[in-house]
Amino acid sequence: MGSYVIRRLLQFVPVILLASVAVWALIYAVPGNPADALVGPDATPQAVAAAKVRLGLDRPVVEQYFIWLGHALHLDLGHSAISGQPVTELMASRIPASIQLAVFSMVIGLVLAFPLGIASALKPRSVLTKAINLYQAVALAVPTFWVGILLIIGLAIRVHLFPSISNYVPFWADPVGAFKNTFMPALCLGTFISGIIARFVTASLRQSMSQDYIRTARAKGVPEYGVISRHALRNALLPTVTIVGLQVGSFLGGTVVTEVVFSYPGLGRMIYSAVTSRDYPVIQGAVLFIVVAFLAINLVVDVLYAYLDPRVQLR
Amino acid sequence: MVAVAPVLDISDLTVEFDTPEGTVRAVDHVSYSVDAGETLAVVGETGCGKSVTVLAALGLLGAGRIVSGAVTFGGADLLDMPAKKRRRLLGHDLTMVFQNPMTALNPVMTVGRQVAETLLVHEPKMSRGTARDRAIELLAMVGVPQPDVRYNQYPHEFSGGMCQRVVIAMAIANKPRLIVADEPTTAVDVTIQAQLLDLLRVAREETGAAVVMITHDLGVVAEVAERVAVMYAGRVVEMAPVEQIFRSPRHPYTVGLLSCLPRLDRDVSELIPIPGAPPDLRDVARGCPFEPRCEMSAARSACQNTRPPLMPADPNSVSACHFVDEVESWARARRGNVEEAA
Repeated sequence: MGSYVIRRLLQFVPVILLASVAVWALIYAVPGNPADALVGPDATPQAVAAAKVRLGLDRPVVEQYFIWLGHALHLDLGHSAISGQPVTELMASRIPASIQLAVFSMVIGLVLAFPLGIASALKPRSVLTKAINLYQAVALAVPTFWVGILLIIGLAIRVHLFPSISNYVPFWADPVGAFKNTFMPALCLGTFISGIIARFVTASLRQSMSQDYIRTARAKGVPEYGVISRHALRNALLPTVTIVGLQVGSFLGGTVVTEVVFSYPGLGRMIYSAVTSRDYPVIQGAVLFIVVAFLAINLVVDVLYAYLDPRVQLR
Repeated sequence: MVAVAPVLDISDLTVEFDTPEGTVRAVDHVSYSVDAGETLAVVGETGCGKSVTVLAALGLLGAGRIVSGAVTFGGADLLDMPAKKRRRLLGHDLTMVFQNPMTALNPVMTVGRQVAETLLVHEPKMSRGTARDRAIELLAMVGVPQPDVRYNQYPHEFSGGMCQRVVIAMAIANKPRLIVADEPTTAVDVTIQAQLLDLLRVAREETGAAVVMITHDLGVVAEVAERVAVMYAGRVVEMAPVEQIFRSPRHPYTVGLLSCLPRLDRDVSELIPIPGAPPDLRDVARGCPFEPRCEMSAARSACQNTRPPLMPADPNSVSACHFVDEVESWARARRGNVEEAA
């Protein structure tokens, strides 16, 4: 297991390098000179010229990339063109907020998805299942920003249960405050993904309930509860883990719309304001982080897979 | 024959499935019973309803509905029994061995735990350690080498034959009164088949259980059974002691089945296939279901229009053929023709 993880981490290197080339090239997609983009729209010609030399933009392209890469490896991704703050510093303050929101959302999503998915798998023709199907369709179809606005109007403005602007309060510092601030955006994202996850749970549970080993378990006299929990559910978890992993990955990359609606200070809102103000260094940093986050989540999913399914060999 | 109460008694069982193309009567008024310590073989082609009969009787049929009939186990009505009570019998007094051992075991649970589960479900007070020790004993009993190591392995680390040994271990774990083996040797290597049959025989001798052996393999029948029920198109067409089935079958279908069986003392060219295919069960003719394929019938009107009931053919056997008295001479003449041709 340990050596597998190390080998996988080594495999990350080329992927990250490839991503870094793309991210670095982003700056050349900017209309005009990259230096303009890097220094910001209001810079004086002298400042741009100085930046050109400082950033090595007067050197050959390949060399420029390696200079940039060298800085990036030292966690120096440049400075925000708007605030002048170092990008890594900016991200360091946003990443924990996004992780906390992702975890809250996933907990809500799973808590909703599993009972619903299991119920509709076991009673495929019941009224309850029809209601669950409707819920899933609605959860997937309704845009999160609309749910977010409804939540703010309902739970923050009409009844003052939650703040209408969600701040980042670290969970370990103040669990109650963290809950109050994170609950509404997390509910928004959680209901959305609960629709997807519930579908996966239903489909894979239904499939595993029709397997031969379920009949064997029943023939052994195992009560229905045990048949489901010990035999069917564990097998049904495998495909579900994959989709949950992908969702966590996308959450870590920031959930732009939800964070903007709730004014939550996560990566998503940082990306949003960076894009609207053409703050390229920040966009570069965010994209690199998303790549690394996805790779890491994929590794976690693979390891989890091997843990859940003994047939999967980590080699 | 001594009149003892049978362990399992299926009478007049009819099972139907609803499909988009209509209702399929997979089991049509099937009756058979098996006595303590006896092995009954149920033979027939794929799709003749032999497995469905037994799964329905045990309440293990997923889809489908029981239209009529009664099933008793040790005198208790299995069909009307509350699920909870039936569960106490299943896996304890009444166990099953399935056709495909590789899929019959849960792939994400160690085989040892699956065997131990059979014990724990029926004896919740048993400690996990005791269950483990018992499970290892059982694995050893069914011939799994290094049972204490194998206990912690998963089904994919076992061969098909080894998996079937594990399934048999689960089936004998609680000293059942009846073991239903549904094509237990079909999915495994020929070399393993004989070992598994031996194992089942030993298991039966040790537990004194009755066995219902569902198979399409007449070789298996000859090996293990005392009595044979031949099924065709959802019905029992003949039932007789095993020697009699092989010596003087009393139904043209049984005659046909036997002449498809290669024998060491005869040439392979003498094998006679049964012409045609089994009927579509959505739409079975009014008459005898075997009539379209029956060479003896010669399209007689009784065969085409009246369904033959299962009637005593002689003191020991029953047959569902209008012309049961002709079967023996017809079969002899048929065999004679083939030998001449060969």
